Amino acid sequence: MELTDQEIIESYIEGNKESLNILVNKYLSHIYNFVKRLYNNESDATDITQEVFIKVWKNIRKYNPNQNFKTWLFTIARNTTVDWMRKKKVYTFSDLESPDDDESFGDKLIDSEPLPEAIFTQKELKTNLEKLLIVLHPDQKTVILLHISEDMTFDEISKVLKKPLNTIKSHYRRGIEKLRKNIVNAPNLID
Amino acid sequence: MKDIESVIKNIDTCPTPAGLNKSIVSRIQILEQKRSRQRASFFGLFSIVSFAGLVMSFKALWTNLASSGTYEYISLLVSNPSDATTFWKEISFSIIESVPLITLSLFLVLALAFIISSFKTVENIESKLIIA
Repeated sequence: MELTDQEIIESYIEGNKESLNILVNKYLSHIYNFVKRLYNNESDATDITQEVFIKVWKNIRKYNPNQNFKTWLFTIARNTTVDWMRKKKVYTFSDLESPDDDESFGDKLIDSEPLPEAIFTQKELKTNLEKLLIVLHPDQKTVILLHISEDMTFDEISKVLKKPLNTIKSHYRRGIEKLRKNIVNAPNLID
Repeated sequence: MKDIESVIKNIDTCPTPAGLNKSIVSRIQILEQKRSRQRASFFGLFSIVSFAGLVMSFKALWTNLASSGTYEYISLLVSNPSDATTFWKEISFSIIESVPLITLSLFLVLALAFIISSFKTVENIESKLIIA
């Protein structure tokens, strides 16, 4: 029977050093991929991922068992990545504080009709999606990646970003819309 | 939106760099060892200091017990049990009154500090050995 995250953590706190290894193995790929897509830098993603797990180790005794471990872990991953981006001046503080949306949100959402197959194929889009993600604000990227790739609910993501649920939903819709526009307007991104 | 969602959903996960897992675990082990070493040093030093304090407070307690008359009451209890049962209340109060409470409290606190710090020292040394 597979142990729950809570049981693994308890086992580690009780002195089973191997438990942390299990936890690292379980989430390494998720965290690495999340960080890599959020930051879009492969070599730094490795360092950030290491930093994330070290922070988890340092704070594991402060972890609240009533909280979802995955939410807690991704909060650390997101904060570590954003701190890293600030240090490297990838984004300024104000960029990270509020998504750069100069368009008024709401009515400008386009119908969700399928993207024209003439411009790109699904396979090509897959290959270049990371390039397209660059245009998104980190918060929008975080919401999209966590909701779609990690199957997290908007409620869980609102805990990760410590923002209201409606803001999260808005980030999501704006982010998806921005992606769609960029694909249509810049087909050269697709090799 | 569904088209984009399905593309993102189906993006292949990038393989993690070889050795990243081992690198994380070994970094954590190094930090664990460092933390255990620091804690063992701190609690080791604390147990030495608390032991010295314990010896001094024991000497002070011994002297105070001798001068306060507590021994006399206790010896009365032992030597004459029939009187002790008759006047147990008076004798008990006299013993309690004569006990040097401050010195005794200090002795007990230092004894507790010594036990806890020794236990923590051993625990951290053991932990360091397990990790190593």
